[in-house]
Amino acid sequence: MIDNKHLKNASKYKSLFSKNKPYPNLVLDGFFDSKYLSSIRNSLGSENFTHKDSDLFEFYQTDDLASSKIPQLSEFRKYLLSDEAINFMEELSGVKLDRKKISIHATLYTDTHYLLCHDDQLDDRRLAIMIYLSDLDEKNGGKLVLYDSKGKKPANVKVSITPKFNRFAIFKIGEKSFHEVTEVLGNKPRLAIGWWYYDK
Amino acid sequence: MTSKNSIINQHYSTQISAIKKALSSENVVQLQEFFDKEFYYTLLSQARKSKLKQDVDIFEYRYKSGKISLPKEFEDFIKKITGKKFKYQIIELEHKDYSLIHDKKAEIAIDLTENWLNGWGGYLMYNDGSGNVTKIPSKQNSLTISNGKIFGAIKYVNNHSGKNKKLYIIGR
Repeated sequence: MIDNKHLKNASKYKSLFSKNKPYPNLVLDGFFDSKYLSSIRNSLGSENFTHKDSDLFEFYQTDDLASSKIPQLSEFRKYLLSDEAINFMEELSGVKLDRKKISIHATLYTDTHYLLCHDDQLDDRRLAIMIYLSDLDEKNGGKLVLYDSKGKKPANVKVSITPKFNRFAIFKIGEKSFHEVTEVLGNKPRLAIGWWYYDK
Repeated sequence: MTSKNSIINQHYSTQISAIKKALSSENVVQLQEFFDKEFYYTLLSQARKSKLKQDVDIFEYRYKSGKISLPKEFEDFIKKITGKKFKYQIIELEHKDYSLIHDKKAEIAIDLTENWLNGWGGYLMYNDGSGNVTKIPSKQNSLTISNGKIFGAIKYVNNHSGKNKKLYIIGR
């Protein structure tokens, strides 16, 4: 289900991923088969989203898709734990992953929703991945931004990723993997599925 | 209503025990129409004239801040309730500003903002650490006191705020 043009290029992506600043990251467009991803997006219409609201963030989120009763979403989660998907992620990132463990949620950001800067470090998370399911423009906000660091703190935005349908963004989680989702401005919703792979 | 020459609403200066009791059981209290109107507008004018500097620690806060001192009568009132002395600063928040949860520390917040909608963010929020969140509605001339048993934060100010600014005096 990962598009063949990407599957066969995992080794090429490895050096890009590791060299990219401010910490290992990569963005790939047209990542999954487009029709397949459209069906995943449509399936989310039947999934329940809960309003999450704190000082750090505000958005809608599903429960972990491990508990989804929608067959397409369960199958998607299974695929992300398949040898094909895990081998690709391991080759691209150079990280050995737990082949049985994944946390995966869909998120929906509407006007004013945001996620302030954090590092994603929790448990043994090693890779953070997003696949975007809606198209936003620069002016719509909702961008994933990666910060460089000064000492142990985030400093300046170095990478800014605008959500586009079937755009895949991956970064390595570490002490300085500082990132945020900028506030969504206006009526275009930001729909995405995000997941974490864990240390082997 | 204020007693002669008092800067504090008499209703509150005569209800110290009740306020202490409420603070003890609720961990946070908001006292509305707290200052005498004349003093409130003097304080507002003083705050607006203060020199503010951009203050950012991405992991903790983003706002403008400046120095301010408060009358002894106010400090005495606060000490009677909390048993503590606080250091005060002016905080001005606009679109994209926030203050994230920090240490469990007693805190004072005087709201100096007119015509602010809660939907714009910028309101005080307190978390007991178990996921129970108390949101304090934005209210001009209110005093909010937290007792240090909960975590305090100021909600991210969103794009609906336009060019409006939220003004607090915060004591920590």
